[in-house]
Amino acid sequence: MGAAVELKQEPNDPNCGKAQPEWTAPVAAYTRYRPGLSPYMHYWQQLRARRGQTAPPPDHQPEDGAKLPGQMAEALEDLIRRSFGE
Amino acid sequence: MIALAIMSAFEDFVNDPAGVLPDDAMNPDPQELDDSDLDDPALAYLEDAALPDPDRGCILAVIDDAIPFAHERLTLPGGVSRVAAFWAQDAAFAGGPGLDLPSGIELRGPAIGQLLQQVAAGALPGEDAIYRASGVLDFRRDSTPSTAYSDPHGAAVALLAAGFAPQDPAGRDHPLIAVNLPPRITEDSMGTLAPVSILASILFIITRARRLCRLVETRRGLSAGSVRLPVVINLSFGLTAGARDGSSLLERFMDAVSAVAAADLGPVHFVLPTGNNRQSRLFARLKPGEDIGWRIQPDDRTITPIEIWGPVHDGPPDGRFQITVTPPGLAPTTTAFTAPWQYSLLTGADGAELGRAYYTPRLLENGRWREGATVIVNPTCPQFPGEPWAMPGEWRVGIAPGSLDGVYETSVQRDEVIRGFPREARQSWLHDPAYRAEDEAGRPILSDPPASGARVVRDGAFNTYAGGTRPIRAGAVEAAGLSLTSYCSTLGDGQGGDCLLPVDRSHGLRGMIVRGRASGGFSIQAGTSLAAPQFARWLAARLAAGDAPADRGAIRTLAQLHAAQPNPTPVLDGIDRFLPF
Repeated sequence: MGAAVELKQEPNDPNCGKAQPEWTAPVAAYTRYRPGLSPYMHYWQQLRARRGQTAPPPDHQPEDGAKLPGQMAEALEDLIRRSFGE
Repeated sequence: MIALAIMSAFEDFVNDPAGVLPDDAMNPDPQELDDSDLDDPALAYLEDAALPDPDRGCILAVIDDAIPFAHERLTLPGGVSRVAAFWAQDAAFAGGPGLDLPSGIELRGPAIGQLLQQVAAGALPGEDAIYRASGVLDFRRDSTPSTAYSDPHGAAVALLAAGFAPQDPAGRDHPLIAVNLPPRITEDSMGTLAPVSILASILFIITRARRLCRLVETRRGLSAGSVRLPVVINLSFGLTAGARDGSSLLERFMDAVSAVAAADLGPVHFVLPTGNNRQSRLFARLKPGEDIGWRIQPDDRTITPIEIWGPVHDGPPDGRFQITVTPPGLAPTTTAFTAPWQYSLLTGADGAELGRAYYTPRLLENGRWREGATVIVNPTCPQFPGEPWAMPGEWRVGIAPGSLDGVYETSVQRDEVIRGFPREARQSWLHDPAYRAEDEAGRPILSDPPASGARVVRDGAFNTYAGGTRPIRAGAVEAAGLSLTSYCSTLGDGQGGDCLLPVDRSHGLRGMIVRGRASGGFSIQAGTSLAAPQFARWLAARLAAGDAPADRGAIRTLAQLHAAQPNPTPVLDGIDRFLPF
């Protein structure tokens, strides 16, 4: 005979007993806004660095990207000036 | 001054961290443009016989893949090219006129004409040889040779927009400026690496269009700045994830370019496809505390991203907006972002990396903020052994309780294999038990039923490059009854675009006949990618005829005047299509 199996009532929490995934502590991906910058670009650069195809992106502190949203307007103005300015 | 503009504006393009460009494509010594393009016939944009009328001309521009610059329908009688400038961004750098460009080669009309003359004289063995002789097609290089394909996307698009029979006098007044994006941009199943190449392409088009105007002035003895040809730029590309509010750099740039009244160039209009994903279940609206199933397929060698864009608010980001992700078989976990542009890696119980999330709030033009985040799940089948991977199955993604009240637009990124490109992509989708794709008879349900309770929605799932205020969004109808095709996305108001054009032959016969790469070749293709160039062609004809619509609304009104079916969305028909047979 096999070992006895103790039957328990299914708990109400659907996640009971499931392993807990984790997020690493957040850090900044970039420190300065540039055209083409994106989460996808950052992922690809890290992947290519892991494959030894390019230099890894530098490590940053958590707050280093705080000014990026405001820098998009500057990048836009720069592109317009380059398109139509002399 | 123009020259290094393109170079220096795109530091990341030159450094190429994503590996889009082959090493031999890079320009090692970029130089400023000078005025030799106005003096040296070899550097001119067009031969004199192809220069447009300064009062009736309108430049057409196309950004795409594998544009057949040597095609007969881009010529005038005698093999004179109508292609003013063609930039192959990833071709091996070989000097030539495009010394100001960061990569690739530029061909201008006289040089293309010389190649056509060599074919006519038998010095080159045929039209196909032009692409090899020019350096645009080189099988020795580590790049997908899409220019060799018989019916590439770029051939259909460019020739719908700017193809004219050589003897058609209208052709001369519509010179073409074209950009071949790198094949690695096209083969990226998500297209997410494209924006920087597209931005560079737009700069190229504007600079060359301005110089073409100066060339017309020089050849005709007109005063400087007096020739201001309008430009219509067709961009038959798009993504499925994004903010859709015009706030990305690409959208804001297109809006700004169209708003500028340049002293030496006419108005610039953009035409984009509305999108093909109305029925794809890639778009949902969530509120704080809600989540949605996200089905990720096995054997996907590419990443699977989703973007979440929240409500607009006044203050700067305050850390309230967080994302909860539930991998298959694991418990939910919530991010802990505290500042813009942070990212976190998602690890499983064994510490293995499963994916990542980025916090990307945007500062809008009006000074307000919009919350944003991107979640990227690793490939379910890694490209190489040892690389991070994630389990397929039903993931869940949601808005953490406590996030700012409002609607969070949640969009799965496109992840499909592009025909002819060898990438092992698998499209993920959102799963909502309340969503019904078909009715009981098996017919597709084409609009969102009221009060269905579904979080997955059809309306509003349009091309995320097309959220700006000025570009025209062209949607697809079927030719038999001029009704919207089932795949054509809608703009959030139920309309399939600002203007509609026939693409499918009927609801039962998908696709239209389009020209292939070789003169005389053809194929059948479908999608709103083919509606956009038809509209670009029509708009260029109207601008050349003297119409001057100021904005999207005026263009739409103009289209209604000429439409086969003016309401609720104007449907234009009869625009230079292959006759059915």
